[in-house]
Amino acid sequence: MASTGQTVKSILTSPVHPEVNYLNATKGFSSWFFTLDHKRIGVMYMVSILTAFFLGGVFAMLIRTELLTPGELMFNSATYNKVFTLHGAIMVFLVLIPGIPAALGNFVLPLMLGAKDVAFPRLNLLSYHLYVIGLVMALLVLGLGGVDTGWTFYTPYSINSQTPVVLMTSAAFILGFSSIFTGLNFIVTIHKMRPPTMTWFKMPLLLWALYSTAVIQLVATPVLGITLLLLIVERVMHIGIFNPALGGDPVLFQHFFWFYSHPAVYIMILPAMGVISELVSTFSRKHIFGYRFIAYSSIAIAIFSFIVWGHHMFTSGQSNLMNMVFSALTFSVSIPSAVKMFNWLTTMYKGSINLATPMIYTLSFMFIFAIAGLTGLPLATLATDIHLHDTYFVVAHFHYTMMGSTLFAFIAGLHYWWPKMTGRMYNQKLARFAAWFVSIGFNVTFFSQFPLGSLGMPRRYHLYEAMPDWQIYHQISTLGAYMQMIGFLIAAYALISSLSKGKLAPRNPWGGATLEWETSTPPITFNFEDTPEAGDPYDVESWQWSDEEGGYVKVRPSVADEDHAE
Amino acid sequence: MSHHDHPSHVHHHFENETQQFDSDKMGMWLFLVTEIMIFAGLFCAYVIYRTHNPEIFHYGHQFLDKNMGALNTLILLTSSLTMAWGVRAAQLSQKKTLLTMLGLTMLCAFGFLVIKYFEYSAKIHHGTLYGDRYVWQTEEHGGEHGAGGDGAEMHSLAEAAQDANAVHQDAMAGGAQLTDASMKLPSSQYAPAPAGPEGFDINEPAEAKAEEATHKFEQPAKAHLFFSIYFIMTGLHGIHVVIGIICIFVIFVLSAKGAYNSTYYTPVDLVGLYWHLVDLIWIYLFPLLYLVD
Amino acid sequence: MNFASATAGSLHLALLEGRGQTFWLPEQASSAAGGVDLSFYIIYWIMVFFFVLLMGLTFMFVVKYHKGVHPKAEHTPHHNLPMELSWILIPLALVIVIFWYGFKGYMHLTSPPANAYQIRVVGKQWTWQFIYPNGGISGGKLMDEQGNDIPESFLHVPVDTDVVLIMESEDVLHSFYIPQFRVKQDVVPGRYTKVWFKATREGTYNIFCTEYCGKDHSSMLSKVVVESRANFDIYLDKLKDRSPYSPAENGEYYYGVFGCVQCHDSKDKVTITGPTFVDAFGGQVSLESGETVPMDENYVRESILEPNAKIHAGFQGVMPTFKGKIKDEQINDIIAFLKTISNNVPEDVKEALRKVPEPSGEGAGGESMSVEDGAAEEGAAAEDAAADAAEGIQE
Repeated sequence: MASTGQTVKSILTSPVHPEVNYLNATKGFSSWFFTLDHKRIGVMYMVSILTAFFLGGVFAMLIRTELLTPGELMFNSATYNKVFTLHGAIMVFLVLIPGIPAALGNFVLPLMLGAKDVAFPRLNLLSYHLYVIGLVMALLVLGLGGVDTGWTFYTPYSINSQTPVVLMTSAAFILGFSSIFTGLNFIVTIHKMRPPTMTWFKMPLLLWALYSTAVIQLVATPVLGITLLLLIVERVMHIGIFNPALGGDPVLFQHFFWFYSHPAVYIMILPAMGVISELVSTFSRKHIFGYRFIAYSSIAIAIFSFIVWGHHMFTSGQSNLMNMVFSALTFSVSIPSAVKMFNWLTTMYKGSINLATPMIYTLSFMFIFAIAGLTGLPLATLATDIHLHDTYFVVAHFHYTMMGSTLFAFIAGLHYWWPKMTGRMYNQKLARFAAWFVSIGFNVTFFSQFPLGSLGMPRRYHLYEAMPDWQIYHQISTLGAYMQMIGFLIAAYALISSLSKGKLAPRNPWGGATLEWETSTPPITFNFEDTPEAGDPYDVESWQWSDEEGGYVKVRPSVADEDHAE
Repeated sequence: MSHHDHPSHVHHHFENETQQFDSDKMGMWLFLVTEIMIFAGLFCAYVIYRTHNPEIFHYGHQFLDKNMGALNTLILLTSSLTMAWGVRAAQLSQKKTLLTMLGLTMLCAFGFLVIKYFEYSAKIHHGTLYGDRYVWQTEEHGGEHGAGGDGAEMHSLAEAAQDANAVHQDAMAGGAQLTDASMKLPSSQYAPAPAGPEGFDINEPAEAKAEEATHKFEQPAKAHLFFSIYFIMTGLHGIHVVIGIICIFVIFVLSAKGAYNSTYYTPVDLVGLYWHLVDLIWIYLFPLLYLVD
Repeated sequence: MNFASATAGSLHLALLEGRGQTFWLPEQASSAAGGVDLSFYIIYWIMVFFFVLLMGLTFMFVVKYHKGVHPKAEHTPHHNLPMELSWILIPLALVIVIFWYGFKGYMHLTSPPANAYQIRVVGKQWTWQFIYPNGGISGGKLMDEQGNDIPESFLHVPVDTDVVLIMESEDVLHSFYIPQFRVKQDVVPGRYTKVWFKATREGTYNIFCTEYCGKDHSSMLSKVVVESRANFDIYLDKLKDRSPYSPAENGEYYYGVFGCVQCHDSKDKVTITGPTFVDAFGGQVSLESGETVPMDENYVRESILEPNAKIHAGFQGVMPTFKGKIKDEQINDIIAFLKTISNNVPEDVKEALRKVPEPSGEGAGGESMSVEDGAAEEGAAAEDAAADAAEGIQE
């Protein structure tokens, strides 16, 4: 411990553990389900998303177990197709897209701004209710036997499929609006509710990331909405826009779909990068390096994300010119991603690195994100993508991005803000052990899929009897999946058991310098007793460890040092 | 907790009413952005189909009644004026004017829907409908008025497509060299099958007009796609008009109760913004669908 | 190609058979494979370099600046423009080079030589059908009961020859993929797509469908047989001339080639997607409409050409029409085959159908007439086509 021997005195006067906080202020189901408090909505989102994650995880386990053998093991191809469709649809629409913005973002964003709530609390609640409706509809689809189109709903198969596609696409449509409303709320909140002292360049980087994300949510999601609507109309009324049997163009659907769904990848990864930017600085006890470049790179990624969708269609038969343009543009995204990576790394330089649980996940994130980003290169390159397209190489790549990066950042953030959310500390040893288990399991699962794919295994294959050589890769992958499962269960145990057994959390257990650490633990209903003064969000030296408190205390106002002021 | 002395309509989490008003207004603008993106998707589909198959637009638009379209444009423009006037009235606390203007706006919106109803029912009557419900035929294209339910039409259309496809495949057999141009299937292949649920009445004016029209252009294959796009775009717009009417009705009732005055008129302003967007979209739809030439 | 093989050979513990196979990539069997693999390995080493750099530094920092050994963070500058620019500009330069390499290789992959030998490929749920310039069709069953390959059903191509496949789909999206050739192309309903390659090594390689297409997506397989020009010609002739076979044998062949077998069982009396044909012919069929009709020649013929005219009770009208794709004599052969698997048909009739007809054409009356007519026309067309093809290949 960085104890200095002398007592450190906090300049914050508000009580750390007030008797009434947002958790116990009111009681009963409706006081939660119809609350307007962004923190409660965030917590409810968190619970719902983790439930969906569990469900999607069960499907993942079924897939991995089925693939242990080249032939049929547990179920037939029709069932397998439904299982991977539900796995994909649940993970994408119900876990990854809402994950960080809706759960962590909702909780943290107004706190970081020093605001009392988001700009439109009712809209926020509506967004959550839409999410619940979407979740229920997805469960209904499950009850009706599931859909078999793949989460991408490609036409014309999705037009012909005999499964409840309309219900599933309606669920995605509704979830889309849930996402739009969250994004809208965040943009207005960041624009209009920042305290006067917090200029744009004094905002925590997570807010920059959430802001960029919200822009994508707002602009891209409606296009998904209209695409899914057209698909529904196509199935119900046979309008023929996407149906080749009626003269329509099935590839147009892919353009529409990826115009949303590629930016959607950045809806997932941008807030993840924001979380990592916060955590790297806090746990290295260092000011973030290259603040402006990280902020700008978020905006750059948001913009680039709209012009690269065609790389999902390199083999679809679109013109060579289009493929060339999309390939070139796709590489542009790699630059801002690299910028972030190098800046995080430099932040750690000469720091004092605390390997607490969130930091383990953060380091795993960096390891995984490096692989995720780098393996994007051969997929953006036209000549090599032709060979790798729609193989397990792609499966591995996007799991490294979507699960390894986004989800790890989400879990890291969950462990980081957990004490603030619940007021309890979890068992560090156990949680850290789980973190290692999950990280290693993840790499075992998905790294083996890279060679599997580059050797030619197509994705969405139930049987691979033609190539028995591939079995060993699948077996390794399945082994890793079981490791992850065990890891996640341990992590879940560590967190849940902290609710009853955990120590009371201090005001600031990690030493982050953003405003959410200045309020009580857990926060009071309207967040702050007094509107806090916004200083430099990365002046981590303004917080010092106090043995007495068992956490960090604020010793002076956070100020921008001359080095940062430009 | 430091609480300001808020007027009743200002929510606790805002510092003051300016902040609340600015936030509300920005939120509405952002919502309109999403609305625009929704329609942008449809406009994209329009552009793509029009680029690839200009003939179906030249053919299809003749079936639309330009006069009705123009009248509707005029009605919506008027309604925009009354709506703007209403917002101004709310700002000036002129309750009576506000109620009159909202009433007029709703009246215009209803008028728009009534005209749209006549346009739609004419199309339903003649079978110039979307996708596989398109059963319009010209005299040159065979006179048999075969009976056929939906299923049969759908079947026959798909079959016609496959027939043509098969013919082309036969032509391909034997190693015929393919040029890039022939990579696209011949346009004849998706010609709708000659079948109609009912015979058409030559005496009807719209019918006569359409009859005339079909002499101007040969009926292209995929003509039904024009009507798919027409119905989807105008249909979605129509839904927005209905939502608009509901919103205007709500603020009509509330303003009758005296909810709005010069200090608080945000809902009127926001509904006004929404209504202008609905008008604006129609301003684009009208020339794109009705005035193709 | 050599670069890739060399690096792979020295650095990977993979099975190397001198065929360009490495830990990462399958054997190289086409002219394009070398270039693709070169691009892959250039990118691969760039990836390895950056990964080692990033993770090496991370690891070093964690070890060196861990709280335990480095309790107080040192003050370092918060930004450094030259550093920022260096990690923008260096990766930028690298990706431009990568893009350019990839683009050049891609242009090669997608520009078929003008005189390439053309074979048509039809993808349908869940088979591949190959139609050669002489009208011969292959496809259908890939394995016999013992699990041995049936090479006649595969795609055959001559070695060291530019081949272009003109592909179409009858139902949903598919994608045609041969890993050893490093080629892949989606097959899209309503338009033609093409893919070309020059196979450089004789042998048999897997064909996969890589665009999800429904239930049996993972069984939508075939193989490509790369063989010498002479063997290829023999194969083509054999494929074309069906006269040495009985109507029942030909029927079974077409039953496979046209994909009937995908949905209609002909062995175990089980329902797949459509009704079984075991013991069906000569019996009665209950329709969705409630009527009952005899399962005779007319019903089979109508069901092939207009599948939705009379739908079997308990099934959905999902069968596509074969009108214009199947010839009358092929329908006749399929009917013959259906007769031989039905116990409603007398044994002597079945026996007759299992016999190879006399070349004189006396035996089966009307049926054989239509066969001969068709064959004569086709023969002429085939000769033309073969001549065209031969010209193409001589280039």
